[in-house]
Amino acid sequence: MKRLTRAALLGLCLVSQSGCASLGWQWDKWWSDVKLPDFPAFDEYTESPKSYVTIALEHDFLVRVKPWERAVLARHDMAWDPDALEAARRNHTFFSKEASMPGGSAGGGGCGCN
Amino acid sequence: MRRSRRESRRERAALRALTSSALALLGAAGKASADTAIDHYETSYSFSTYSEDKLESSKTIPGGERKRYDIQTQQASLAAPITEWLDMSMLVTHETMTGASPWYTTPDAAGSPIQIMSGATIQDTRNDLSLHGNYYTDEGRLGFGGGYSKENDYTALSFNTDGELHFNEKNTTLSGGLGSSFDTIQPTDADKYPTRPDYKSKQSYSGFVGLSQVFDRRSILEGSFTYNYNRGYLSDPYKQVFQIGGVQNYGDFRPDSRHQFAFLARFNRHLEETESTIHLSYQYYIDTWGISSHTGELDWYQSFGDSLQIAPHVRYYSQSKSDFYVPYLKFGQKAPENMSSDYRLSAYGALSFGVKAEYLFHTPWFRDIEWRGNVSVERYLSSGDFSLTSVSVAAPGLVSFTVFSVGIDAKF
Repeated sequence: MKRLTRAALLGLCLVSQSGCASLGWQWDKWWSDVKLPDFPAFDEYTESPKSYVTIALEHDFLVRVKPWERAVLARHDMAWDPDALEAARRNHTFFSKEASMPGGSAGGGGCGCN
Repeated sequence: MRRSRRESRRERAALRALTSSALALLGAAGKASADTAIDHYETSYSFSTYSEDKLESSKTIPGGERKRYDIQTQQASLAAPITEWLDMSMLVTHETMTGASPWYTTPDAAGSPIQIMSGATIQDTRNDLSLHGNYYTDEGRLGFGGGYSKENDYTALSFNTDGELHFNEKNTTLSGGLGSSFDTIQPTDADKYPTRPDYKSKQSYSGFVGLSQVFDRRSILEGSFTYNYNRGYLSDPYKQVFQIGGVQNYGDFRPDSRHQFAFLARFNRHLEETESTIHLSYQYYIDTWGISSHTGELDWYQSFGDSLQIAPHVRYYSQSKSDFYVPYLKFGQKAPENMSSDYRLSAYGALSFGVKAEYLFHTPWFRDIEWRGNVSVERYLSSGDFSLTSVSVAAPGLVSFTVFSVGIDAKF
């Protein structure tokens, strides 16, 4: 799987190799430290006091950053919606002018939008 | 020995880098990154104007109403810490709407549909208040909220609860929520138009689950699934369906239930080399009215120094038509149980793009406030030509609009 992902990314990079290199981005290196998941043995589900959710989600390989490495992740522009007012307004506009709904949250009230 | 200028410059640069990373760490500790209660007050205000393009003259009858909707929106919000593990936020929205909206479509001489707009100018206001409170623990967050929205003819009361659970030293976050909304509509001029009911209601119930994962120090990925169930009066009382040779127009009749499903994937990455942050998102949506849609969005936040940020964005949207969308009924055609001429239920694609400039500054001499001022513009174009599916005849009422906005945010 890892190889496949890498191959696909490499392929993507080859298409615009010069583009990537000139910007100093090495897309293929993003995944170089990804270790294969170490899924829990079956007993762990039946004999552990932990919840199934915890057992399913807790893996060493998913601990990617330590608390002191979170400076970039804490940036204002790294939030899902940096500007809450703008997000509320845009979601409302798209919701009332298109047939879809915005995902990712439990929706608010409707409107009599014409 | 006297140090060379280059050396001392390098040292200063190193010192600056060290201080800024230390500051960033402090920032990280006090950040509202949704895993601790906020430790400061934050208030925002924004004013925006939304104006729809005039209908093209080829898409309506000669001399027909071509002006469309204009909306002026004012929003104000306040977020406040209550205790170390509790915070509250509120958002107030006031909107004034004027203009005309699409009413029904008729065929022109060649048989392609043209739009007839509502005769009278609509004047409406919408006031919306929403409240949200969060309770934090070491392992996660639990939130409760509610909202009330009132228009001249429409009222919505909504409740929601959501929460987060952290795993893997807060690298993995499981989130979820439930929401409900109870809406009523009392169409204006119901006595003048027989297709308009006096009073109708609808309810919606929604839920979502999401999983986000930190990839590395600079990137984070989230996937979520959202479900929404609507029931009650889901038709649009202000729209009609025209029939060739018909005595009078039919009303807009939609099914009285609708299940909606949305799958959303989002990815944020900060590029330190260029001081920019990219937000990528994709959503697939499908519902039981036969509509499916794709939405893709790319936001690029480019920083210039510590204060200025320019953020262009582009969004693409494409939807298929609902099962019961009809521009008009043919001569002698039996009226189906469900039908609507609403352009929002037709197949089309939309492209929108915009840019936002944000300026960050501090006033240490005045309550040490951190200010964020912003201006933005967004242009939205929709057309049958932009659709991913082939559209034989596009709805004539497809909307294009422009939004200008200014806002200010203060943290203290």
